[in-house]
Amino acid sequence: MKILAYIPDEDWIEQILGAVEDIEGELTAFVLNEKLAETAVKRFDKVYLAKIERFELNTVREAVKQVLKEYNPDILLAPSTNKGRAVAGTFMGLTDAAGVSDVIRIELEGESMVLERLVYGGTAKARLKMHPPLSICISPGYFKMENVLDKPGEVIEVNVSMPDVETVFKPREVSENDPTKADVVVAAGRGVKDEKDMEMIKELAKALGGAWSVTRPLAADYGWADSWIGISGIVVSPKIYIAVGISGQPHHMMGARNSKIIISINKDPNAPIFEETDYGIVGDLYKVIPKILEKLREG
Amino acid sequence: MMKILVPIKLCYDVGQMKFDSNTGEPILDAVPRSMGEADRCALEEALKIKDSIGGEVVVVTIGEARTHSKMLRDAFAMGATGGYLVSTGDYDKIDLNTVTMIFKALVEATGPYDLIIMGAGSTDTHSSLLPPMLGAKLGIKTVVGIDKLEYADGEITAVCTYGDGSYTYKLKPPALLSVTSEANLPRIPTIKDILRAKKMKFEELSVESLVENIGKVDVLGIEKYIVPRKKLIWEVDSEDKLAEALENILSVLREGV
Amino acid sequence: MYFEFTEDEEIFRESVEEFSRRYIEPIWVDIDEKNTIPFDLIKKMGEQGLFAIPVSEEYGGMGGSFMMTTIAAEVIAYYDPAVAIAVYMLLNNGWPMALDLYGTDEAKGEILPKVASGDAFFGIASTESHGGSDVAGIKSFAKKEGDVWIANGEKVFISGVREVQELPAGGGWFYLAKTGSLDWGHRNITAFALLPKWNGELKNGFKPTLYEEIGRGGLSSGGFILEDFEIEDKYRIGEENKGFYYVLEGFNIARILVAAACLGSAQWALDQAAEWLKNRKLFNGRRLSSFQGIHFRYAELYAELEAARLFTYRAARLVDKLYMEKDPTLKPRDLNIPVALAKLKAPEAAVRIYEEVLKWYGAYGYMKESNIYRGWLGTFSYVIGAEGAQNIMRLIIARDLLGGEYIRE
Repeated sequence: MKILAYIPDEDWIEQILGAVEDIEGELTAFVLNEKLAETAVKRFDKVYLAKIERFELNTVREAVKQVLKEYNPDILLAPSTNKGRAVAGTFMGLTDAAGVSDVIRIELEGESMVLERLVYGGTAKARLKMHPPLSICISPGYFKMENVLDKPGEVIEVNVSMPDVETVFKPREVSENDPTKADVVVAAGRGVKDEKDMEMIKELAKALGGAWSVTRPLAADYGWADSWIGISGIVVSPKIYIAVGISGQPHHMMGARNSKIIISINKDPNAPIFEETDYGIVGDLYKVIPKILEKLREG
Repeated sequence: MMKILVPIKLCYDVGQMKFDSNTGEPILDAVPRSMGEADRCALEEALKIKDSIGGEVVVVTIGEARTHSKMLRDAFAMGATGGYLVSTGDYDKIDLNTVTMIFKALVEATGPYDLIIMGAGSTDTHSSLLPPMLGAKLGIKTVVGIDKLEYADGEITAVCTYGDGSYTYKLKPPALLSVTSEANLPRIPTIKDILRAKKMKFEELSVESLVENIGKVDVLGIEKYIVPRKKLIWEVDSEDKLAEALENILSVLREGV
Repeated sequence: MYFEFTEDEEIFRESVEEFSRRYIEPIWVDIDEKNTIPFDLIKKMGEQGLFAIPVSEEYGGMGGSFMMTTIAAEVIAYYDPAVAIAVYMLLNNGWPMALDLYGTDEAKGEILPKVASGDAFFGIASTESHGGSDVAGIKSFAKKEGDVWIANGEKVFISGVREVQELPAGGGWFYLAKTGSLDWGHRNITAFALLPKWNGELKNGFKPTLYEEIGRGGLSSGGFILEDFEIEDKYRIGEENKGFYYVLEGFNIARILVAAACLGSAQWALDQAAEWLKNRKLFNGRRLSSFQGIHFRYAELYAELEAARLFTYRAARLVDKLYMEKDPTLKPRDLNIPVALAKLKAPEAAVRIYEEVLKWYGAYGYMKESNIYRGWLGTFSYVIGAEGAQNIMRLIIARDLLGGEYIRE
């Protein structure tokens, strides 16, 4: 099978490769910057490089068209992120390929594929039978390449013209706090009553060498953070996820469910989060968190 | 004056999902449905443009009159000036390619439209593939996942948040724009709006009049998604209980870190 | 009786749900605690068209149906189970509707648009210290002098006494006073639009007092004394000495809305309870919801609520048939039994549900922060009296079924 993978950044290389580890075929990458092409070329048979400094879908569409003139993949792989879905959808529109997002499992079944995807706000998974040509957007945190192989690939540059869409890019502020990469994530929900109490959450994250985040209302409604965990925000998959004062609504859990261990603290014994908890405390977070901090300081 | 098309989808309220306790299959009949959250925000953006410069806002959905007419009337109550129902009983099963072809055919038959504004993803299946597909299929400029949309002096300004930062795009119609549920707080129709909408009519088109082949998704099964958890929960109603709970949790934390 | 809603009624219900989720649910506890509904919420409700729903558009109303008004009361009470906002809203719909039916064009044109926008309140002032149920026995008296009526007397347990004084335009009540010979019994009562504060101006001769209630905190309750208070004749509602009949029609209208508010609040309690029962584990981790004793009680309470709901919806449909569609086969008195059934059953179902739910919650329900008690205290107001005591409902039903002459021996 011929596989074309859209790689938005380095972090996705191992996940994308992991998703198709069991599928034999030619592995081709599609990247938008030179530095990434240099990294990707060690892992893929071929890398198509379109130098598009700032992501702009109409320019990307022109680049995909150029690639498709030379290379007709059976499967397009992309991450289930905004950019990944945009590229996958564009590919589907250009080729009439079928496609699916939020994929957590991929199996080959003869000529066709059986895919498992999350649906209904992550509360359910659906098994779908699909046939190449096919676009697959994988969920973050579900796939990882076990045996990374070096490949003697080549970089093929595609030329693109710029359509008249003015683009201004403001990179995310580089902060030490990156919940998508941390091993431990401490997340605050509506049980945290005041913005100043976020210090306690940040302190716990720091003490554990992890990162902190919040649920949607704390970011979108109160402005205590720039991003939040959930279906409309970021998706995390740490080793340990600590949910502090979070009730566990489906839209939030979609962004946290893939954590290895979930610890939750909530005073409401009926909070749905306890159904998805490994270790939970029914109690007042304002008593429990200071106690944890105290114990951690004691060592 | 602008003519804007807003495709909308009838979505399950995923906050109220129910599953069969034996098979784990969703009991969809018991789950209420309404216009997708992001679709409603898309409609709001279209209406804002109409309110400021005038024009038409036309909604379209694929479904049955029996189940979908209330949503269309809801859209009329918000302020949509016209609507199409592409009628088929199989609306839950048709694949994305067919949906794309239906909308393309509809645009060709009822357009041209200056703008197509749609929800970035649906509330229940959230694939977010349809807007970029339709944009590519129609060959018009496309911006997806817009958190903030403005239209002034013939120019669209769209702000999107992607993983690596924020992107601001400026472009001119015609274009296809997909907005997220963060884009706005949609207006709530008043009684007068609802009573006005009662008198409006939507046009029904058969799916066969727009596309020749109807592709369907081959679903092998759907079941509740459960990640097995230990579920060791301590109700800390005493200092002792709290100490016991903390001891366990701290050992997990120390191990993990 | 088969029952279904029209598409526009369903859309309306969803719109009120969304409004309530956005603007009421986040602050209902605060409102109950602080004993006041913020004016910006009242204004928002006005902009959303939640006041004067069944009032004709000609007088600034929404031109909506009475069923929609009923739906709004039910939905708002679901998101404010303490029912203060729902009751504020329903008074501001029921009594403006009564004014719309019988008031003068001049009074309607002046009062109703301000009620619709939220700038004024218009409720009911009939109860006096000898008891609210004995309308015919009121002592307030109004005497006509030229073009004005001079009113004297005291009213007690009146909703909105603070709001009338605080709202920018003011407002008042559908007010009853005797205008004829005291021997005429109930045939000597005239109804007026009493406006102690109007266009921002407080009138002379109005002496208000405020009470403290145990529930329904957001809505004020109080009384007032009128001392030679002047009411212009244009504010007379309907014909002289026929006020008793008009107020009974008004009560029928308001009682349906009160029943609807009780339904909404009780449904909230049952929904809270469902989550609690499904998640609360006792004895070796068994969920409360797995006990058969609980199943039976839950089903019974739901049956009571659903029965009261059907009574209420049927009565609301009848109001639309009578007043909106002007069905010639219906008379105001045809509403008596259907309304009394709704007003008898809905508050009782609500209170029973709250008492049971509080027991299911155990010590957790007794905690202030569970907020269950707020709905209990709020709905309890309606088994006591407020728009008609329960025994009056029984009396109405028995009188109409057995015939008045047989029960008054």
